[in-house]
Amino acid sequence: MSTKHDRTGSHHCRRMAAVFSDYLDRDLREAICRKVDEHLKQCPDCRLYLDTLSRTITLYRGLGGIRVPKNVESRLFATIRLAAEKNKRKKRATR
Amino acid sequence: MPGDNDHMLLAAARSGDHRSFERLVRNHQARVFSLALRMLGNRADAEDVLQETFIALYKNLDRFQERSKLSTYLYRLAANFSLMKLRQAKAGGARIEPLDAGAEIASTLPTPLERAEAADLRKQLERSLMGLAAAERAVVVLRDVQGIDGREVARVLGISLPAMKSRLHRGREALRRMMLDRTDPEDSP
Ligand SMILES: [Zn+2]
Repeated sequence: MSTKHDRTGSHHCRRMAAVFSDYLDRDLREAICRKVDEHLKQCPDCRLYLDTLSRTITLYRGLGGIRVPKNVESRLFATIRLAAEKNKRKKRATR
Repeated sequence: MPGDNDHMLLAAARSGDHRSFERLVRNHQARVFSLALRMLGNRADAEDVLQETFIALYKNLDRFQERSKLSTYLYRLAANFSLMKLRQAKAGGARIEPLDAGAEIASTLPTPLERAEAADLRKQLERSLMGLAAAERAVVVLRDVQGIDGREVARVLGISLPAMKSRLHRGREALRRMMLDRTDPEDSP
């Protein structure tokens, strides 16, 4: 079987793969978690699959935030100020 | 606590203190911009969403109930505006430009080579993200890139927890495959 775990594996493996995402998030009930652990012990294909899935998630977690560039921030503040002015004028008009 | 700070700033902004509103914007703009940029893949559209999101907050200051966290509310606005933009782009046949956010990423002083490699990897990761269906991309960006709790992600997107989980699973799986396809030795010359 290839490293891509292309679902040619057993029915059992396919069912396991469906919960791996939750498994990595530690979001599985204990009983199911134990079943996954048991399966992983004896299935190198699923171990490899889980490993590549986990590495992928780690990479995306490390992508990090993006700062707002100064010029973008200035335009944002200008837009908000404009909306605030409009709002004031509207309030004055309805008074 | 940032939530307490939000609460005070919101109260001041409601009573017309513009400086407080600007501080709120400063505290949250990076989250909104990051989500929009990774959802849309281009800077001009991300900037539009950034503006739309905070204008919407400004207009709804009185209506925003603080039953949900401000960050959840802002993420929800930004996600909705982004998805709307993607729908419009699809209808108009617009092309999505490759993302080039390199300069603004917070860096921790790596060597030039490390920086080049990291930039390559980041571009690859971002390109793969753009290869996902929008609904899956939203979940993966919020959950894995922004690091938000799963329940919170479901709340932001207005979907059930099981729906969130299945999108997350599909998205991660697709990204995993894309990573493997890129690093597959059979693919290199
Ligand atoms: Zn297996």
